[in-house]
Amino acid sequence: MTALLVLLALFALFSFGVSRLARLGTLTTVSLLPHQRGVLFRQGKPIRDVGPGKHRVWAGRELLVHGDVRPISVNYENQVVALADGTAALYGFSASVQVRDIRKAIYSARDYTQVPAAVLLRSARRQFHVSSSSSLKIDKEAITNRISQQAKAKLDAAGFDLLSFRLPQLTLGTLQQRPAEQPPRP
Amino acid sequence: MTPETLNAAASIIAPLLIVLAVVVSRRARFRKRIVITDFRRGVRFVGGVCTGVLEAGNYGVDPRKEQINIVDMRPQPILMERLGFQDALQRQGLISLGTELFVRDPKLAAGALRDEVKDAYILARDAVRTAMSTQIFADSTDAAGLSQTLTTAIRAVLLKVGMDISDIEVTEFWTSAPSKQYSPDSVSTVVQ
Repeated sequence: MTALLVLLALFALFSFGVSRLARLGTLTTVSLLPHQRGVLFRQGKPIRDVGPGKHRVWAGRELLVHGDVRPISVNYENQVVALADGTAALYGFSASVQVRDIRKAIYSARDYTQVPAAVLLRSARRQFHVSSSSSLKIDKEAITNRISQQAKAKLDAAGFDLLSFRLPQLTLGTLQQRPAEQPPRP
Repeated sequence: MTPETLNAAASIIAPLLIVLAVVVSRRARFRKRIVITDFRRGVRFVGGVCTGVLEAGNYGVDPRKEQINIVDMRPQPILMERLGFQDALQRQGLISLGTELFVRDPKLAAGALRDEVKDAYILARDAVRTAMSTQIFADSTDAAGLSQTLTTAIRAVLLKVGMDISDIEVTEFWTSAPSKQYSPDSVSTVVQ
């Protein structure tokens, strides 16, 4: 009788140990493709960046957050903006942005793929709005450079590289919204 | 220690261990493990009542008794482009701005908003229109002062639902004389 009880007790101890081990999670394998990068989190904290290949992850205790680092194309057309002298401009731009630092990119926004478009739209509108139509007529390159410089700095802080920026559409003098009496205030 | 004593101890400890093993294994069967990263929080509800906010870490959760709502604390860039308004002197105007929305109080946000970003965006847009309608814009109106005014106005609204914004950047601002050049239909309003 005692021997049976001891056997049962050992079995119980074994079961208890196994259930405690379950807290470690299940060992799984996550494969990252050549264009993917990731960050391994343990206990909710980032412990290391990981590249393409197979990675062993304790599911339930660790988490591999990964993302695509292929270039993101941003293309907008027919954007209207009021210029500093009260006229308006119609513009369009195309750009290419790539993730340089996946950890920064992951932390930069809920959906990091939206960051390049937001930054470029914001920078372009701001730079156009502080420019006058005369300056844009004289030097189109200057506005392109100013927008790309401002966007580059913001994208860099978020872990992105601006690969290219072009301004294929720029029409000045759309006066549908020109103010009659007051100049705009930048 | 005599064999009788060992027998007596074993006869007491063994059943206790068996009962413990059964209880633990039954509990473990229904529990699932979740990982909360440091850019998220988990709002825990037990019996329909919010009992706290889980920080970064891994947790065992019994879905039969409790529910964890994951709230993302990372910022969300938002743009309001060519938002039409009418100031206190009835002059039409347009404003574009960029900012970042983020969750300040996950417990409050989880209870007040179905979708933090979409709902907060609408609240922020209405706050901009309301703030602009109470302003009188002079030629000397500067973008920095306007940004500060709008940031304060939007924050006051969003903090009530556990959300917040970073400092606003006004990217475009234009007003006209009333009903001369501008009508709301004359320009497109693009909301990203």
